Amino acid sequence: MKRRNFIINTSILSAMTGLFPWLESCSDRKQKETAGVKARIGVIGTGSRGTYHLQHLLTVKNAEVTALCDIYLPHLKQGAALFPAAKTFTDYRALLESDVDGVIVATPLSEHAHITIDALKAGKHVFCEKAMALKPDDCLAMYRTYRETGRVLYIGQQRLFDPKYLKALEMLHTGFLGDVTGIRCYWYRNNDWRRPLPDPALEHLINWRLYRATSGGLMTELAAHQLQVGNWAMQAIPESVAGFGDIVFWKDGREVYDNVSLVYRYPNGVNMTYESLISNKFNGLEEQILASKGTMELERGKYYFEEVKPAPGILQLINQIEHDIFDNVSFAGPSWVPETALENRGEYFINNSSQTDGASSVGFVNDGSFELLQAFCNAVITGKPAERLVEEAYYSSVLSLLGIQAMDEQRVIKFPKELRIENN
Amino acid sequence: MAYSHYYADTGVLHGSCLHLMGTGLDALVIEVDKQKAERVWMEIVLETERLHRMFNRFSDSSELTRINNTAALHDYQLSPEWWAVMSDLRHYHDLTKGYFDPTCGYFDRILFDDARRSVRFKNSSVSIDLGGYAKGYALQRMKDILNDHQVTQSLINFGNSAILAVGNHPHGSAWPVGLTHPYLPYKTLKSFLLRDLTLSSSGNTSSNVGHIINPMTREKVETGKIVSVVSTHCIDAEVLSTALMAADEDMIPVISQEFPECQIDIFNLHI
Repeated sequence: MKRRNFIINTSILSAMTGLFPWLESCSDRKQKETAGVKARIGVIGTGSRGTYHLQHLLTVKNAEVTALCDIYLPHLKQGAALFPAAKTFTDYRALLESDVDGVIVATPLSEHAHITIDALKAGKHVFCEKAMALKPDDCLAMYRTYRETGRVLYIGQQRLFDPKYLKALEMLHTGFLGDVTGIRCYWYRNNDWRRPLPDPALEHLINWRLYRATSGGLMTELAAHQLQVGNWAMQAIPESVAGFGDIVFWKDGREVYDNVSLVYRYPNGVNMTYESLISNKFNGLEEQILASKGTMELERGKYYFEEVKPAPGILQLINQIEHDIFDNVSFAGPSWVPETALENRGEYFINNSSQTDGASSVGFVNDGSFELLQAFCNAVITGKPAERLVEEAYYSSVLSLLGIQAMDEQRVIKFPKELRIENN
Repeated sequence: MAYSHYYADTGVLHGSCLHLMGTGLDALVIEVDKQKAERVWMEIVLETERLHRMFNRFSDSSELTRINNTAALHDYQLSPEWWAVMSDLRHYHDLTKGYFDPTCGYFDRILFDDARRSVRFKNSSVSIDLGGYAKGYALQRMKDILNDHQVTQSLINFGNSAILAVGNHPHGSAWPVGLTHPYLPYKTLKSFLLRDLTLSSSGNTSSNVGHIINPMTREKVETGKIVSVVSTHCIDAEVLSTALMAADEDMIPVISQEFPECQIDIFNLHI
């Protein structure tokens, strides 16, 4: 895999660090501070997502994978094939006794909380996949342990490191599209979400995403990402949620919903709708920010003005002024010809941004995962936690779980005060 | 509908309006007083809308349409503003040796009555189209509005082809504006530093060829030429870029010397 650089201009990144403090570990200063030092990393869970991280780690300069752990030997071998020198374990507790500085937890959701808590208490820095845990209380316990130990905790919310999201949210928060009046998030696929089984006895181990004991289904695997984006856009946390969910199409013994539809309500009355189903992929995935002067489609990396389309270059010029940059912007030319087509094609937040159809269950190319992992490795070396990162992940995790509760109980669930981490 | 947003941190008001005088209008007004910046932008929009109504030859209710429809039938008594505009057209027609011609080659069929401030067309083949003039006129009015409000820093982009730079960029001594290659959009033909200057560009693009007519031959100009003119005077820049686009090669220096204050760049793009 080709090594990639963080593609946002460093001057813009520096300005963004003020807005998005978790980017501090990506800054030039931190890169210099950690240059030449390697974080010793152990990966717990070397299945599909764990292998995805391992592939990225092959190109992270300041990482050395020294330990691997999985209870399923074919997955462990898969990981060891990428890092043959790493020690292998089948019990994460043994791995925690090794000399790793940080661990990546890419296990089924039900294992996140206790492994993360044990690792933090063992003095290790932790990168845990999202969602944080299967129960809100476990999310809170993870958060408290993180605060108490002072260790680094990263949660796999890669959109917080995706350049197109960073640019979009920076732009949105200047208010240039007016007030946010609604949010629509959806993720549609058309597949059974199953992995092939070498032995039927392994059904719950391999297809853990389909069972309530190990997974929250669409809400914890997909919605957790998108609910975080909604909160990021709103700079607030919903106060209540209602919704319906069911197993509509894949009636194959699974226990998690294959069709969910919810409304999250923010204190100012703005609603964020969330829909996901896995029996129709026509609409793909998107987080749409509906504002009084325009719309953002964050997955697509575009924004659309309601009525007007500023001339190309003008927004670039404004952006430069905002970032104290004086540079040529080319927009002069022969007569502008009005677009006659009614279609509003919108504008890209940044050039050459990545896009996905949302079909992969593992990860997408250039979606911020690499930058997130690199930032974690930097943080392992410096020992400095990322400001606001865990809080963003915590609320999206808890909201995804409250959504499941709302659907299960078919009632409006208020966000419990005891789960507000400002009070903890 | 006009859009505007005030960036409080930098004191930049961005105003944008689609389909004014057949094109888009974007303005950056650098002003610490948000309400003042919004007033200035609104005044610019209202004035440009007024000029759009005044100069729109496709609208039955515009004064230009009334002139075009009736000046061949009888003397048309012009309002003071229209008399000034018609006099301006005559002035520029003379100055450009006839290559600026809002009637596409029939300008000598307009009879001016200076005493009565009226015009008459010799026949109904005369019809005035203010492309190549109106944007410069509008830009001049915007400059007046900015001046009236003591706005000292502003950049106005009227359809990319007419740009007014007032004062300087907040982080530089002038406004840096690049001229885009019309056929290779990621290529910059030339970078200009504009301070209290107008940049007007004329030429063909891949999607809009032949919109400029050589008034001498009444043929469409279909070359890959781009003419850019930088001037302190908005209408001079607009008129001269159009005239030099239409002019035959041997007439370019003759016309140019009538505009000694203008900086002229001609790009012959081989397409």
